Order: sequence, then structure tokens, then C-alpha cells
Amino acid sequence: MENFGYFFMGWLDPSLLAWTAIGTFAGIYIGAIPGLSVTMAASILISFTFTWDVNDALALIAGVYMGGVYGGSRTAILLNIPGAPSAVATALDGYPLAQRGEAGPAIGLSTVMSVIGGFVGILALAVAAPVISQFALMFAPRDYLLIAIIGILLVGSLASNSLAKGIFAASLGIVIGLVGMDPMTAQARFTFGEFSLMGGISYVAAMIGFFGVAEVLYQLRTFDLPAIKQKVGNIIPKWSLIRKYLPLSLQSSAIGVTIGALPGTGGDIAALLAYDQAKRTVKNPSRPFGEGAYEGLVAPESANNAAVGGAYVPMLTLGIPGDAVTAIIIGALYIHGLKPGPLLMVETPHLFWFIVGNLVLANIFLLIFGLSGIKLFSKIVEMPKGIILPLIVVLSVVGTFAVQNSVTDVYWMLAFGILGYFLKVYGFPVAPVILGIILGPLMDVSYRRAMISARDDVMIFAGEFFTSPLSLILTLSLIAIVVGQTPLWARLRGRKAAATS
Amino acid sequence: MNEPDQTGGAADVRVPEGAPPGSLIFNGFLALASLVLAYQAWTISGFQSLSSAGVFPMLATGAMVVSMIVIIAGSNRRDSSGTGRRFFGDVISLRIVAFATLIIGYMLALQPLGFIVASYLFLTAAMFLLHRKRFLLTLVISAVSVAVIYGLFRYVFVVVLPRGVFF
Repeated sequence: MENFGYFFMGWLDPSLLAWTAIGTFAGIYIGAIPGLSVTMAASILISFTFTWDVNDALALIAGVYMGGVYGGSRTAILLNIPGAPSAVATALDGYPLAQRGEAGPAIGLSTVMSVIGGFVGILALAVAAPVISQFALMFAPRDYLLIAIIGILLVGSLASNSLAKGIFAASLGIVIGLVGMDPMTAQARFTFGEFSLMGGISYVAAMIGFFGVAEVLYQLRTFDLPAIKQKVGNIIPKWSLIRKYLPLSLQSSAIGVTIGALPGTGGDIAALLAYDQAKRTVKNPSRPFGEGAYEGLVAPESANNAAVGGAYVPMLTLGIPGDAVTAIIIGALYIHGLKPGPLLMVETPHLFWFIVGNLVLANIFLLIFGLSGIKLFSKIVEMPKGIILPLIVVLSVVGTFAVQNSVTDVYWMLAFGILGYFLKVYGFPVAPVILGIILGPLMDVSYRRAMISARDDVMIFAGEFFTSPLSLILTLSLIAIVVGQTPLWARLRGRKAAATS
Repeated sequence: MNEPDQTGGAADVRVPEGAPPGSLIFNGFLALASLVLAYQAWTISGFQSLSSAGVFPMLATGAMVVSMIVIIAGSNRRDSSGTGRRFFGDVISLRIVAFATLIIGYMLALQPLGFIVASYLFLTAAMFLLHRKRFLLTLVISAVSVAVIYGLFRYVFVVVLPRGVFF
């Protein structure tokens, strides 16, 4: 506890304060602009800041991370384009709200709820980090596999009307993620004999393709439709509104922290899970979900920012990334000569408290910038599409190129963009593809480790899912999700509902 | 001045009037691609053992094939395949083809011409294609945009951008 003084280090040092503020401000815009992702920004910032002092670099990246996770909600509400994967769920109710002319309150409420979620996440990081790390240590490979499958099923079923299309999209993503040299046996997989594919396909290229270029092409399809101008009025939300949704926000934040702390699963899954949970539990939403319910905004926005604090937990205590951005931060810590893992908290406890204090600071800046920058933001949103779409293409190209200085990645990005366009047109969800790309390698390795430890015996392998308490809980939740998706279950529920009404 | 068009986009817009024309062909293409990938997965290590490199790829591609069968079986009944004319008007309009061609041209020009020239040409052409108003203004906007992006990435983020013959 003697290191707690470092909590305020970022608050008192002017340069650290400035970098956190700049990071948060930039993060909001990076998160908001489709095609620019926090992951991409963080990875570019690593190459940009590696000569810096480690504290400055961490302050800037923490700000970008916090701001970016929130920023995606802005375009989700105003344009129905999730600026970041973590805002996919926000668009489901945020955009209908904007169509009803309530964009202002929607943005204000999501800002405040993001900040509340952020604080809950940081609190969990500060208080429960050692406890959660002990819990996470018990995870066996099969548990990682189960969690990944649960995440993919949830995204697949939530993101479209058809579960089959969701599963197809996720499986496609997994296959894209598996392209290249197998890390365990060095065998080539899905490379079609191409040597350049041995290193795999850059998931940044896939992400920008599916979310940037595909989106641009898709918007061209509806280019001639009459324009609707969103009115963004006063965005400072009413106190009564905040108080009304505070319990839901705290509940969603708890989901967010937990999901964020699970390895690999970050704000995107947390937001979708919290949205799903709210949809199931909230009895009388302000409007039906999907038609502009404030509950549908509060839940994902609280959860995705709560997941930021959660994602730091396994990163700082175990050296395992909580999501893609923390994976990049781990890279940054290595560059600066620090080893994230169990020893980090022992050898450099002051770093832990500095990070916690810095996240709190970023969250405060998020509240300030989130409730004040809307005029400038609307200017960007009000730019004619004919100007902004070509600009998104240029940014997508530069961003893809920047990650590995590779023109090949740019070609991949275009290919994924065109594929993504057709997938969108024919009603396939794109979000599960990205999740599949990120989780595919993790699932593959987890499955094989679990199978090897079961000595390739199917009965032992299957038995372990029901003998370990943790695996049993996960298996049962997986079964519940699958059963809940079947037509039989929907019919049973429909009959029950008909009987009661 | 165009107002921002808020109706487009969205990762997951539901298409109200049923599947757009050509969905049968696209689904067929995806099914074929899934089968090719499934075959590729099988060639990795066959059925050597349950923990070999090819098992999980086979599971993933298997899921692709099965879900495609479910999708095609479900769509056959209500989906009329649509006429070619509707397909070319709705799914692949002239504007989308022209814009996609510009993007491809931009990428091909990136290395020989360098980032600055290629981006400037692309932005001007694309903005003129979509905006069609105030040609001079698009020239200026393109120039300013390229300058800002170049400055930001080159000097703030220190990213090496492709250089061409001139710049």
C-alpha cells in the first residue's frame, strides 16, 4: 500500500496529464471514425512511442483506449455504423433513438454510463485484481475453448436474424485466423502453397476491410436515399435519467468487468452480453428493445468501458491479454523492458498504481470531452458523404499499410472489403467474422491442448467438461445458449406467452 | 450542399423486402468456397489423430459447410433468384463498380506514384464521382486532406508511407 502514492503521479505531472488528455480526446475520434480502430491506433502508437518514457507512453495509450471504446458509440448512434466492434450492440437501440430525434440525450446518457462503467472497471482492477488472477489461474485449456465458443455463439446469434448466417460468418473468421503456419507443428494451413501466406493474414487488414471499405461500398448502395438530418440538441443528460438507469448500469458494468477479465474477450463481447442480459431481464423498457430503448444503450455502453479495467487485470497479473488492445500494451511493456506477469506486481508495484490512477484520470477526461465536443463532432458527421467516403478509403489504406509497411496487406484489405460488401448485402453479419479471426487461433490451441491432455481419448475429453466445476458451469451455460436458440424453444416460449396473455 | 445521409450503412441492417437479387448465386459461391476450404483442411493432416493440426480447421470448415446447407435449404422456398437487371441495378450499380475500380487503381498506383500523388488523384476523382459539384472545391479539399493525413502519419506517427518517383 506504500506505493499508493503513485496513484496520483499522472495527476500531478503536467506532461503525463497532457498525454492522458490528448490520448482520450484522440481516442474518442479514433473510436468514432469507422475504419480507424483503437487496436490499430494503439499498435501505431507503440512504434511512435517506443523512444518515450514508459509512463508517457502508457498514459497516452490508456487515454486512447478509454476514449476509443467510448467513441464508437457516437457513430453507432448517429450513423448506425459502429465505429468500433465494442459499439455493435449500441447501434441496435442507439440509431432508432437518433431516428426519433433523441440523438442528444442518447449521446449524453451513453457518455455518462460509459464513465460509470469505466469507474466500476477500474475499481475492480484496483480491488479485485489479485483475487481474479487466482481464479483465472484455474482455467484449463478446455475452459478457454468453451468461453470462446460461447462468445462466438452469442455474437453470431445477436448480430443477425439467422443463427446459421452468424455461425457461417464466425467460422469464416476462424478459418481466416488460422491461415499460415501452425504454431505447434509448423505445418502450413490454408496457404494454397503461397509462401507469403505462411505468416498469416493481418487481422488489422481484415478488420479495416470488413468495417472500413465494405462499409463505404455499402453506403454507396443507399447513396441516393433522401437524407435525414440528425438533430443533436442538448447532450447533458437529466439527473433523473441517470438515477433511473444507475442500477442497470452497475449490473451491466459487473458483466463488463467479468468478461473483460476473461482472456481474449473484451468490450465487444461484454457489450453484446450485457445487451442480451438487459433484454432478458428488464421488464418494462422505455420502448421495446431494438426500437430505441434507453436500456439498450445503457447496458452495452456501461459494459464496454467496464471491460477496459477488466482487461487490464489478466494483463497485469498474469501477462495474458484481456483483449486485442491489452495484447498490444503487453508488447509496449516488453519494449520498455518490463515483463508483464505475476512478477510485475511484485517487482514494480508502483507501476500498477500509476496505471490505475492514470485510468481514473482518463475516465475523468472522457466525461469532460464526451459531454462537450459534440459541436465539433457534428461538423465531421455533417460532412457530405461524397467527401467523407473517399477520405475513409485513404485512411483505411494508410492505416492498413502502417501496421506492417506492407502493400500486400492493402490488397487483402480490399479483398475483404469487397467480400464484406456482398456479405452485408445478403444479410450476413460481419462482426462474428472479426471475432472468429481473433479467437480462432486461441480456440485451436486450446482445443488441442485439452485433447492432448486427454491423450486423444474422446471419452476423457468429453468427461472433463462435466467433472471440473468451472468447466461444468461453462458447459451448462453453453448448452443453455444453444437450446435458447432452437426453434423448439422459441415455440415453447411462444406457447407459454400465449397461454399467460 | 448534400446533407449527410443517415440511412445508409450499418453492420446489420435488416433487408426488409426479402433477399436481394442474386442471393442464390452468392450462397452457392459461399457453399463452393466452403467445400474447397474443407478439402484444404482435410489435406493438412487428414484424420491422423484428434489433436493434429488439421482437426480444428476441419471443424471450422465443417461448420461453414453445414451452416451454408441450412441457409440454402431455408432460402430456396421464399427466394426468387431475381432478374439480372435488378441485380445490376441494386447490388452492383454503376457507381459502386466505378468507385471500386478507383480504389483498385489507387492501390496499384500507390507504389509507382507514391502516397501523395496517388492519394491526391484518388481523392479528386472519387470526390468528383460522388459529389459532382464544385470541381475546384474538390481539388482544394483533396489537397488539404492529403497534406493533413501525410503530416499526421509521417511526422506525428512516424509511419513510412509509400514513396513514388517524385515524392
